[in-house]
Amino acid sequence: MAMFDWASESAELVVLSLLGDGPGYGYSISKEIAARSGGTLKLAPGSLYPLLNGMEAEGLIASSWEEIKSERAAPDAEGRRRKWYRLTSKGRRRLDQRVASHRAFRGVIDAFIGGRKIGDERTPR
Amino acid sequence: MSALKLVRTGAPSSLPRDLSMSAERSPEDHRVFVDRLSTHLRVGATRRKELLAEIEAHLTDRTRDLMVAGMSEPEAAKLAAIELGDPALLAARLGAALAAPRRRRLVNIGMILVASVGLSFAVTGLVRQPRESTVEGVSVFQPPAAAHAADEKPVIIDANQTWSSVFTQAGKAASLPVQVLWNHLQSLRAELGPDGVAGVEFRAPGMPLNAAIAFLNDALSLTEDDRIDYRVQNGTLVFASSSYFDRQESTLVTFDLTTVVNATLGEQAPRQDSVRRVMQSIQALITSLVHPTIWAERGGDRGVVTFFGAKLFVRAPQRVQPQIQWVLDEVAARPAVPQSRASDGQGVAVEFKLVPRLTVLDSSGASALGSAAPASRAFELDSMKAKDLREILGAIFELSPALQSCPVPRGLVITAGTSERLEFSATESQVRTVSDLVAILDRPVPKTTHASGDTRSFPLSHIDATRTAALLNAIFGTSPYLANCPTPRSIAIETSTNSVIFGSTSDQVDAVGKIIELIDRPAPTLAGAR
Repeated sequence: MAMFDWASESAELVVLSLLGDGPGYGYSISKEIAARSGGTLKLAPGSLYPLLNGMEAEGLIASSWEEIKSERAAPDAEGRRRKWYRLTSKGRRRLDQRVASHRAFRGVIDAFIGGRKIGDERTPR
Repeated sequence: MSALKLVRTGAPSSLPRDLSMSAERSPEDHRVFVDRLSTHLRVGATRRKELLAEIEAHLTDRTRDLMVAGMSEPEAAKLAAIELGDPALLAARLGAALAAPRRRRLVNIGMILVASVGLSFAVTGLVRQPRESTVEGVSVFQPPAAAHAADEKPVIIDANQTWSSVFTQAGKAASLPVQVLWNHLQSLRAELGPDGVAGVEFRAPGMPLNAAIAFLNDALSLTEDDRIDYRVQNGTLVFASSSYFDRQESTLVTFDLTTVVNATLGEQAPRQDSVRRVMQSIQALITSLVHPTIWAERGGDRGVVTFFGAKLFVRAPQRVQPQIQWVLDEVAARPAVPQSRASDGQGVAVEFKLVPRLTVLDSSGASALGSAAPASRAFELDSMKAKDLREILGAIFELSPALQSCPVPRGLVITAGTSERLEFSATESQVRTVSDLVAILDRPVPKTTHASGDTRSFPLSHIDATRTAALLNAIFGTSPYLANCPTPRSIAIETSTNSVIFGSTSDQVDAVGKIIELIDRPAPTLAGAR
C-alpha cells in the first residue's frame, strides 16, 4: 500500500483552491476535500484547524461568524456559532502562484512519465 | 471479565427524530474535549473563545453527520472527539500556527493519500515525524535498529465478531499477518480473562482501526501506558501496549540552546551557574508539561532529559518529540518576552462580524438520508481486475454527486485471496448503487460476434457530459464486457443539452444507460449544509 505524507504546501493549495470556489467552514472544507478526491484524500481535523488559523494569521483567508439556530429555539436564545472562511486578495495571489508552480512541476514530471503505464517494462536504451 | 458492546451495527431501527435539538446540546465528550483544549491553549481570551467555538461547531457538525449515519448520540459524540486527536496536541498546533504563520509550513500536517487502498481514515494520533526545528543546532540521532513503522495500513473491522477475532480480522482486512504480543498487553488480559475472549462483543462496521482501538481503550479504561496500540513491522501487523512501542521507538535528540540561553540572560558569555539555572528551567518545563509520567525524574521509565552546558539531551518515545520540539520553539521564539504579553493574542488582527444568516436543519433531510446507515459488501470478481474496478469506482465517486461524499467512513479495499476480491464499505444506499454498478461492469466478454447496433442520447441532469464521456472511455478500457465491441462504437457530447450520445450494440447501449442512471443522481442533502 502506498501512503504519502502530504507537505503542508499541498494542503494549503487544496484549501486555497476550495475557498477560491466560495466560502466554507472547517467541517465543510474537510468533507469537500474527501468528496472531490473520491475519498482518497482526507485532511484530519487536528491538522485542518491549525492550518486554517495559520492561513488566517498570514492574511491568506479572512473569517466571519454565522449564528445557527434550531427552528425550535426561542427567538432570543443564543445559537451556536460557525466560523466561515473566504479567500482574501493576498490568498488569491498565493493561489495563483501555487497553481502555476504546481502545473510547471507536473509538466516537468509528465515529460518523464508521460505515456508510461504501471508495470510497463521497457527495454533500456 | 466484562461484557462490552461498543458500537451499533447495521441499520438502526429508526433515525434520530430530533437531530437539530440533539445537535444543539453539548454532549459530555465534547465538553471534556473542549475543556482540555482550553486548558492547553496558550492564546489570549478573545482568540481562545473563537477557537473553542470553532472546534465545538466542528464537533456538533460531525456528531450530527454520524447520527444521521445511524450512530447513537453518545457514540457519535465520542467518535467526533476521538477524530480530533489529543487536545493537548491540537492546542499546541493551533498555538504554533497562530504564533508563527511562516513556521506553519514546517509542520507535517498529516494529510494522507491512501491511493492504492482507496480507504480514507481519520488521522487521530500524533504526527510521528518531528517537524523541522527553528532552534539552531538541532541534531537528531535515530538508532538504525529503531523498529517503528511509519506506514501503518488503514484497515477496517467489519463484522460481528468476538474480541478474540478482532486482531485476526484487522490483519485480514489489511492483508497482513498478525502478531499479538499478549505479554505486552497485560492489563487487557487481566480485563478479559485468561483466554482473552470472554464476553466482549466488538462491532464496528466501517470504522477505521485507529478509531476502533481508541474506542476500546476508552471503554476498557486502560491507562496511557496500557493502551492498545499497533504498528506494521516487517510486513506484520503487531498489537501491543503503547508503552511497549514507546520503548521500541525511543529516540535520542540533542538541542543546542546557546542562542536561547544567551538571549534569556542578555549576555554573550554568561556564567556557568546562570546557564545551569536556565537549562534547569527548560528541563522542568519539559518534564512537567510533556507527558509527565514518562520521565525518569518523575518515576517514569521511558524518558530522560538532561543537559551539558547549553546542550539539551532528550531520550524519549518518538511520539512525544514533536511536543518537546514545540515547547523549545516557543521558548526560542520569544525568550525575553513575559508570558502575559506573549499570550495576549493582540498581535493578530481578526475580522469578526455576525453574518445575518440563519441556518435551520431541515428535519426532512434526515429521511432523505434514510439509507445512510453503514454497510459493506465484498465482491468476488469474475472478469474485472480488482485494481481496475477500484480505479473506475474512484472516478465514479468523483463524478457522481450521489456518491461524492459519504457520512460514514468509506472503504474500498482489495483483499488477498485466490480470486480477485474487492470489499466496499459505505452507506447502505451507496453499497447498493456500487453493487448494481459492479453487476454491469464485471460481466464476462460477450460471445456473440454480431449484434444489432443502436444509438441513444442520454441527457444528464446532475453530472457533466464531458466528464461522463471521459469516464465511459475509461470504463471501455477496463471492463472486459464493455471493452469488446463487435460493431463500431461512437461516443459524442452535446454541450447545449448536456447530453452524451452513445452508439454501439444494443446490449452495450443498455449497459451504458444503466450506468448513467445509477450515477446521474443528486447528492442527498441536509438544508443548511454546504
